[in-house]
Amino acid sequence: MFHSVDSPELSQSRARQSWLHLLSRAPTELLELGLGDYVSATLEWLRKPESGLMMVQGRVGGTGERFNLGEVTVTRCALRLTVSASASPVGVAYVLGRSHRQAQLVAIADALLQDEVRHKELADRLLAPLRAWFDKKNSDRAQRAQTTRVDFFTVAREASATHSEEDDA
Amino acid sequence: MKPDELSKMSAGFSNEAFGSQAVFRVVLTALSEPGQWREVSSDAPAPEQGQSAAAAVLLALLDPDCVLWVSPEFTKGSAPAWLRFHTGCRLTNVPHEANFLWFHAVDSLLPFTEFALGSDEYPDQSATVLIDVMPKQNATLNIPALTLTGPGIKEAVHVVLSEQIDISEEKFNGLIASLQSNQVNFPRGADTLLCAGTRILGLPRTTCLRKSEEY
Repeated sequence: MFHSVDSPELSQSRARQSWLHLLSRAPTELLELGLGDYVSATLEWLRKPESGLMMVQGRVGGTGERFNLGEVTVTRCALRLTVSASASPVGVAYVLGRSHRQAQLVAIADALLQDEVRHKELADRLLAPLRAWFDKKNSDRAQRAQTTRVDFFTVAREASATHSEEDDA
Repeated sequence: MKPDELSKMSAGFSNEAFGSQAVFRVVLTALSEPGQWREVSSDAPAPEQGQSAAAAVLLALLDPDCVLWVSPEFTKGSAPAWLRFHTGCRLTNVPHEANFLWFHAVDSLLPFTEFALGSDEYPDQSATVLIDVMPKQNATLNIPALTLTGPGIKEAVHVVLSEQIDISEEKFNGLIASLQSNQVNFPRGADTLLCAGTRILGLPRTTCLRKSEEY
């Protein structure tokens, strides 16, 4: 589908993409902590959590022909939260694994983040700690990998890429 | 799906398994004992368009292998997106590709020859047609009674449609002509459900219709 580059709709969906990207990989404990009282918010299920399989496709080097890598278990759900009299956003979640609870929390967070008032509150309380957690996890891993680094005197080292992209995988 | 569509989406059955089984049972009864109105009980909030019985039947019967065609009036509303969201069905613009066809009460019926009628070897690969009609509100309209015969009916059953639904004489004649033409190709043919309010009337391809006054 084509969008004009500067459409507000597009930037909105980009923002939503970025927080869903973060939320869907977050551990349940951090989600519960960040959501606080919203965890028990009254909600209406549009689609109750259900687990199923999805085929993951890959490309060698990101450029080759697509191939089926294997199936992963995915849990999804969709729900409506009534945050105020006028707003009842719909939150969706697709998470890896079979945790219904995690899917529900992600969907609640997604719904709340679409509400402008709650967005600011949750951006500080939920998204910022999550980002910090992921950054720490990535840097820890990078550090662990660093300890295995061997410097050869006779072989030239390959130009090292910046670490951020591959760590997101 | 547009984000806007999702934010207005309504729920499906509160319990998918029990909800769809209850509706399935009613459809089965309606098609095995044709010519009697059957109450479809469903706790799924009906979309703003179309008869709620038809919506419940589609919600129960559709799955990702099914192809659905809806009449033009439905494309103005959220009903197709609602069915697609909850059942995973595929939507089509081509009537003969569809396993299920849903006609809005204001849209005119297409000739049955445009539907998938199956083959002589596989007559089961045919379409199921849901035709919405308005439940009765106004004064009696002058419409002939129908005599139905065929499997599932002991001797004959008389149906006076105008007792239950509002249907113009022109539309009634078109409907009966279509249903009668559907019997020519037997065993090929489509099965029909008339849907009014929360009730359905099964008219499978095996049922022969006659206007009573002709006899």
